[in-house]
Amino acid sequence: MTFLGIGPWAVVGVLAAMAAALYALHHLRVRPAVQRVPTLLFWRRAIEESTARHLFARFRHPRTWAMLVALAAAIVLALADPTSGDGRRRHRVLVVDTSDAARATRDGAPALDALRDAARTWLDDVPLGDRVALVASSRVVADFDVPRPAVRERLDALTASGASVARSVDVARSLANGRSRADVTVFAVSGPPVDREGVAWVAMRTDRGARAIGAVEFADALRVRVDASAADEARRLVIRPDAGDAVSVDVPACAAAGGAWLTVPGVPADGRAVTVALEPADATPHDDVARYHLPDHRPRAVRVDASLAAVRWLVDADPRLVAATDGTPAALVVRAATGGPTVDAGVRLHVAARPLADAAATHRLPRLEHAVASLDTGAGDACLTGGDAVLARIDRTSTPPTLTLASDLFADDGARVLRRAAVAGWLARTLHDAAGVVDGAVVARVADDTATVCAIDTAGRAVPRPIAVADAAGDARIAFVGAPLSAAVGEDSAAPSPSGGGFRPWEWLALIALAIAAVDAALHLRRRIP
Amino acid sequence: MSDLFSEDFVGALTSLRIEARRVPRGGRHAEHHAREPGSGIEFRDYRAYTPGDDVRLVDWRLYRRFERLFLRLLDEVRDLPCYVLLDTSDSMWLDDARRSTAARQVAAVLAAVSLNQLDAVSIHPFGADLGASSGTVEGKRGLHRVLGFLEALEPAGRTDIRTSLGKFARLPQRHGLVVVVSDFFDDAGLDAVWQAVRGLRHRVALVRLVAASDRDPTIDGELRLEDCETGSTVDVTVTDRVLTRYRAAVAEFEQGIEQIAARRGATLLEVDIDRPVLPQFAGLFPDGVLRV
Repeated sequence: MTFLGIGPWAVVGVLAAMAAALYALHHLRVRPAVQRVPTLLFWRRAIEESTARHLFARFRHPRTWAMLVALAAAIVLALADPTSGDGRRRHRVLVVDTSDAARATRDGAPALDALRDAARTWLDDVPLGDRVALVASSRVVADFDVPRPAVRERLDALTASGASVARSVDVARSLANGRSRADVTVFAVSGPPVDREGVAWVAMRTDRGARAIGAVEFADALRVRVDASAADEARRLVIRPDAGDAVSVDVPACAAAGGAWLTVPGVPADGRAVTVALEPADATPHDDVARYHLPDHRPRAVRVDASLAAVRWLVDADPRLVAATDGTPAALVVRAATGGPTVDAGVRLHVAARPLADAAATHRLPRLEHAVASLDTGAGDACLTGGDAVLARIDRTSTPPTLTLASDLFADDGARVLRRAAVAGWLARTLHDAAGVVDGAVVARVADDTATVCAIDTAGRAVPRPIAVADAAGDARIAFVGAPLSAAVGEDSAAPSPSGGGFRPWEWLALIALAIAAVDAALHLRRRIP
Repeated sequence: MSDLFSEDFVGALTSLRIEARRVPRGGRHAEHHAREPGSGIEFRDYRAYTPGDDVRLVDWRLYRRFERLFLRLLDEVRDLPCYVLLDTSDSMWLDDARRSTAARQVAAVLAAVSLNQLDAVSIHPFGADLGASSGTVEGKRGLHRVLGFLEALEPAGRTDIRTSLGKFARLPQRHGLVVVVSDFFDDAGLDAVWQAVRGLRHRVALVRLVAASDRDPTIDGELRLEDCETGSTVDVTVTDRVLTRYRAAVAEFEQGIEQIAARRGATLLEVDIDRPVLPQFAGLFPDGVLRV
C-alpha cells in the first residue's frame, strides 16, 4: 500500500503531525469573549442540548461520530489515494527521436533541440508521483527508478545517433508492458507510424528542403514514409541490404506538404540490416538515408519441457506447431511448421520440471522488485528468487541463452499468479537490458486473477505475443495468440496529456465532505461575534 | 445619610405599614392587634364569666344592672419581630452592585416600617453561610443603626441558601416575620430554595429581586459565560433558539418560586432592580399596608 508514493510510516507521521496541528489549533482557536453573569442556571438549561465546545463534546452521539469518521476517512482517502503495488502511480515512457532525421534543422536550429525542448516541457508537466523512463537510440537511457532531475540531465545530453525511432518505440513498449497504468509518449521528427497503438506521438516537422525518410516500418512488407515539405522532383527509393541485391522503387513527385507511405515489395523479413536512401540526395542529405533492421520472421525454435501439460496444450492448440526432439529426452523443440528449416533463434524457453536450486514449494515475494534489483547480476546468470527459491534464471553464458522458469510458477495455485506476473516483469526488464543477448521483450499483463506472459520476439519490429497465460484456476497455457503488445498490457496506454482527467470515487466523496464542512463553517461563522 | 439611603428615601417610609394576620404570643406592647383578647386598653367585647376567669376583668357595673357576671375583653396589641434575611452573595454585587443596592434598600424599607410600628428588627446577611446579624433593633431611632449596618455589608461569596436559612431556623428566635430578600440564584436550584424556606417556623415573605437582563439578556454571538459566584464557565453560541430556551428556563424558575411561596403560604414580592425601589414598594403596600 502506498500513498502517493509515500511509505506507510511516512503517512503515519504526516497524520500524526496533522493531529498535533489540529490539537494545537483547537487550543489556539479564537477564544470567545467572557461575560460574567449572576448565575449559569438558565444558560445550562438553554444549551444543554447544543453544547459542543469541548473536544469530544461533538462526538457524544454515535451517529455523529460515525459520520465524522466517514468524512475524515473519505478526505484521507482522497488525499492519499491509496493503491497497492505499482498502484496509481503512472509509468511514463518518454521516447525521443535521435534518428538521422533529428539532425535536420527546424527553424534554423537542429531538430533534436526542438525535440528536447518539447520533451522537457512535457517532463515538467508530469506529476511528481509518476515515474518517468527515457528511451532513445533504441535503448533505455533512464529507467523508472532514475530520479526526475537525472532524467532531465540525460535528456539534455541526448545526441543524434541515427538509431531508428521505431526501435526505440519498441523498447519503450517493452518497458511499459508489465506495468500498470503505463503509457508511451514519443517525440519524433517524423511519423506517426501506422501502428502507433498505445503510443502518444508528437511529430515535429523539420524544415528540410525537399524530402526525407520519415519512418520505416515492416508490417506484411517493407513500408517507407517519405516526407515532403515542398514541391519536389521525382526520386527513387533504394533499399540496400548489407548483403544481397538492392531493391528500388520510384517516388512520385509530390507537390503537397506532408508525407506518403511507399510499399517496397520483394524485401523479405529475414533480420538483415538495410539502408534506405532517397536518391539523388537533396540539400539535406542526412535525412535522406536511414538504417533499418528488418524483422526476422523466419521459423524459430523454442525449447520447452515436454513433460508439462502446458507445453502439450501449446502443441495441440496450434496446428502450425509440431513437436520434435533434439536429442534431449526431457525437452522437445517446437518449431514452426512452415516448411522451412528449423532455426534456433537464440532463445530457449525451458520450463523446469521441478523447482530450481532445491527451492521450497512455497515462495514468498513480499518485496520482489527489490529482490530483482539485488539479484540481477547483469552478467552471466541473472536470476530471480522469491524467498529462498529461484523462480527464474537466464543463463547468458550458454549458447543459445537459456531462460529457465520454475515449474512451481505454473502450478495450480491461484495465489501464484501474481508471482508469475512479477517474474514476467522481471524478465521483461532483464531480457531487455540484455539486448545483446535477446532482442525482444517479455511482458506481463495482470488482470484480476490472470497473468499473461508475453512473447520473446527477435524481430526488428517487435510484435510481442503472449506465450503463457495462467489464471487462478491453474489453467496454465502456452500459446501464440498473435495479440499486439498494447493488448497484452491491457490498459489504455495512450495518454497524450501527462495529467489525467475526471474524479475518482473517493475524490467525489472528499468533495462532498468538503462541501459539507464549508456549509458547516459558513453557518458557524454566521453565529460568531462580529 | 448616604446616597444609598437619602433623607427623602427614609422620610417616605413612615407612611408604610405591615399588618400581620397573626401575631405571636408574648413580646412587647406594640401596634399589632392579636387575634385573642388581652390586656390592652381598647375595649373589644363582653363575655360571660366562667369560673377561673380573672375577676379583675369583671364589669361590675353590668353586674349591678343585670345581676350577672360579665368580663370586659380588651384588645391585645403586641409587636411583630421582623427578621430580614438579606442575600449578600457575589451575584448581588455584580454590575456595580445594582442588585445589592436594591436589596439593601428593600431591607431598609422593611426595617423602617417595622421600627415605625415599634417592632423589633434584625438584619441577617447570608451568602455561603449565615453572616453576623445586626442584632435586634428596636425603636424608631434604631433605623440609623440598621442603615449603618446595611451600608457596611460586603460580598459574601456564593449562594448557599439552604445552609444559611437552615442555620437561621435553628437560632432561638421568637416567632415573627421572616423576609428573605434575594435573587434566589442558588446553584443547587429551586429544590434548595424550597428546603430552605420550608424549614422557617415564622411568617415568611419572599422578596425576589429581578432584572430585565435576567429575563431578556442583550447578548449575542459566541460567549464564555462565567458564573460570578462559582467561577465556572460555559461556552455558548447565543442564537435565537438558545435565547428562546433561556427565556423558557427563566420563566420556569419564576414559576417555581411562585409555587414555593404558595406551598409555604408566604407572601411573594418582586422588586425590579432597574427601577427605584420605593415607588415599587408603595405599589406593593395597598393603601400603605402590607398584610402578611
